[in-house]
Amino acid sequence: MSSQAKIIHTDQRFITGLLQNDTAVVKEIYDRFAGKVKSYMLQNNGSDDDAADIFQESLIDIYQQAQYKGLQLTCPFEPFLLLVCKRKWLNELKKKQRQGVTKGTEDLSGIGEDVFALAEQVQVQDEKAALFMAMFEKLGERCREVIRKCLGNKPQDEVAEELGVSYAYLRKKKSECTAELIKLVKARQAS
Amino acid sequence: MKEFDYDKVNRYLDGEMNADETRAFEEEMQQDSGLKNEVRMLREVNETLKMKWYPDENEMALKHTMNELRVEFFASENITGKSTAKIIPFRRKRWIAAVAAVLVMAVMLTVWQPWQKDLYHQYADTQMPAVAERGEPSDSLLKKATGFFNDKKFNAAIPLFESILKDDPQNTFVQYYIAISLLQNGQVENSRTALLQVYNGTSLFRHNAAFYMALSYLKEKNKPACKVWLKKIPVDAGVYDRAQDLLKKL
Repeated sequence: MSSQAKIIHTDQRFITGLLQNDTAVVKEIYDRFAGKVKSYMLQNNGSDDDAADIFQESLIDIYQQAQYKGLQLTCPFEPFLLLVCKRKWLNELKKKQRQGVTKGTEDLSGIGEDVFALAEQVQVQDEKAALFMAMFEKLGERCREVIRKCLGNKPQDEVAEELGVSYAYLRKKKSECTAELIKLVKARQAS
Repeated sequence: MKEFDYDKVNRYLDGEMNADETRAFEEEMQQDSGLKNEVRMLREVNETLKMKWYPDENEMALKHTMNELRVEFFASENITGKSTAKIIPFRRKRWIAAVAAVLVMAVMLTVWQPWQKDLYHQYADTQMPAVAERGEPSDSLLKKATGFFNDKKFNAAIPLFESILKDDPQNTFVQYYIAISLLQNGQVENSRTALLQVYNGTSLFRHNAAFYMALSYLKEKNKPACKVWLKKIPVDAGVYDRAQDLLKKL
């Protein structure tokens, strides 16, 4: 990915604005793109609230991809953001099994390959996160507590103390729980 | 299926192995692609869950910003006055008399407002955005509190907000909404204490807090104090339009 010399689009400034929580840039994003997402959503069985959720969650997805996975914009921001929002909403609709999807047929002309590739990357990560989270929810209460706490930013011996167990027991329990979680994830990915 | 030593994998990923152990384990991974895969998978799962559960400070700040903008750009029934108060230019002279008459009536009605409950409620009622991700467990305190808040069950929301703040005292988002809950619940003094805390900080909610300070005085019919607070809100704040709107009506 990063080994290729990619040309970063000037719209990368929107991503930087998100990363730095530059309120003027974030406001500009809302000013310029919120209306479009909203009208698409309203045409496709969405409410104002749905639109706000999808818009916000998409921006957070993009933030997380940029922050942790080194996403950089090699295409204009607008079609990329709109595609991420649309796909997220289609995914929601699929989950809710509502009918009557996509009235506002996508105008795909003039959208470059990079837009699709980047939107795809965000969507894949998003779905992975949803899968991991769903499998995590299947674990027993104690396992959920152990994993959640262990992934926090505290040293493991402090976590053990907080849970009222010995460090050795925490390690043992954590091994069991991670094994269980990975088993669930694998089983789901294989199906 | 092959069983892996997850304690080892965990200790490796948590950086709890010493140099020798690390080297030995990495060698083992070179020999065993299954183990290598396992490590890669667990690392990805850990990183992803961590990212969702423990957002960094910038992300929290970004969420705050977006929550403010949300009201402005997506709420259907809020009172920004933007969509309803468009001034239509009239060009024809002969209309002026008629228009003037209508305006005089409108102004009179605005002053009287015999049908209007009160300005305070018109401006103070707000919905709390669902800040939690969909992946959050449905029983999370914040989700519950948001539900109570939006159902106007402030008595139920306040203790939940309080317990969130006990773990996370710097959470200005919660500070802000507990302040509104207190105000709506009639605990004006406590509300002002909380609002001042937000206002005096560097939070993105500080101008919204100023707006609710103004409303707390409006509730007591103290219009001068209300105006003072409204005038503190700068042009670039998200609530500026609503503040100006209210100033005009006062």
